[in-house]
Amino acid sequence: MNSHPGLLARIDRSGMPLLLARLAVGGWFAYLSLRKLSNPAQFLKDVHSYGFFPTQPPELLNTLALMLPYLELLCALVLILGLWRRAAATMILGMLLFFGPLLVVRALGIQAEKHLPGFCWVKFDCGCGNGEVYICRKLAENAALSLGALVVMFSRSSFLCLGNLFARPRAAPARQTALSGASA
Amino acid sequence: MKTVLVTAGHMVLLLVVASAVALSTNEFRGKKRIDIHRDFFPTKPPIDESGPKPPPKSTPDPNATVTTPPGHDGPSASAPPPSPQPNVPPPTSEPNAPPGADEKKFPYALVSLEDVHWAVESGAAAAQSTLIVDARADEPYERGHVPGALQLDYYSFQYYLDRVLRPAMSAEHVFVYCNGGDCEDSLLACQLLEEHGVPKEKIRLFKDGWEAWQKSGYAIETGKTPE
Repeated sequence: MNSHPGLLARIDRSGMPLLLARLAVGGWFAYLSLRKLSNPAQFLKDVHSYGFFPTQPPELLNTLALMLPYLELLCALVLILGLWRRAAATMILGMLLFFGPLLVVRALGIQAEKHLPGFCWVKFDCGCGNGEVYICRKLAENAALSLGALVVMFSRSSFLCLGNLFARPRAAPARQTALSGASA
Repeated sequence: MKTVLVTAGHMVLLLVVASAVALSTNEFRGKKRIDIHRDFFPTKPPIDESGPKPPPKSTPDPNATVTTPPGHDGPSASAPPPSPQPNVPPPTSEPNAPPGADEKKFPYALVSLEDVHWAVESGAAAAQSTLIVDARADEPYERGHVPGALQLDYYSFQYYLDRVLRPAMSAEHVFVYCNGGDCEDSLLACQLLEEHGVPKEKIRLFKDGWEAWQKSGYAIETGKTPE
């Protein structure tokens, strides 16, 4: 075992990066998901506008558009509470990585259509829940959220995680058991 | 390995719970309910290669009484359109020109901002000889709409259709708009009206939509559709 953990490991052990990442990513996703839930028809239109998902059968697109904001909200709450944090962070990272390229493709299309001078000039409602945004700002935001999700996934800390309440106590290591047995 | 399996199991559980909550709460959302089985984005009908005919030109006929919009020769725009001549807005394109890209792309005749403004100013909209339909949701409609426009939110049309259908059947023309730009709700609303019996020839698409009306500085109306 490494008795001299590196700087990152020591920072991680404090639990602060995990806590900050959980609150930031979970809080932001909760906010965006509630905005989407307030107007489900608009979100359905936004998902359809990417042209990626088939419209037949209609149940597929409709269910996806209904379910996604709830999935985001559930993952956000679970992340904030520190329950199943790795699963929630993986789902969130998966959604970010899936929709990221779709955003770029759509933005490139808009840039070509409107003859904008630069990629970062593109501004549109991506269906993310916060209205029209500049694409570069959105991609930077997604990158930060992805980083936060990675911190949650790989952190070895369990600082202020509700999951600790349900974790099984670990058995004592074999050496200590042998020693306590010899001294009895 | 165990961690990976546990994480995967939790992910499946999150998906299942999210789907269950989404489908069950959807039933209680009233106007915001999404009908899972409804095809909200039907395949558009094939476009006639020759393009849809522009609205008939109001040719100067000395024996006919023709009402034209402001800026053109004709009677005062504030006078209500006389009958029995139909209250036809002037065409949005040159009558002898071949159908342009817009006419080919949209299966309904187009009307311009000036046509809609003329319908409002001439009293045609108030008299409902020209019905103006706003295909946007509650919030944007209530914030501001074309004066006299009736709301028909395409995504929860069952709450609005009855109020719109009767005047649409009796009107001579039905102008439909949404936000403008790449908003396709107005086109979908046109198809919906046609499916419910409004003759296609009556339906006109105001594709520049609310954005154009707002930019023009013309009067707007706020609040809900009057009962």
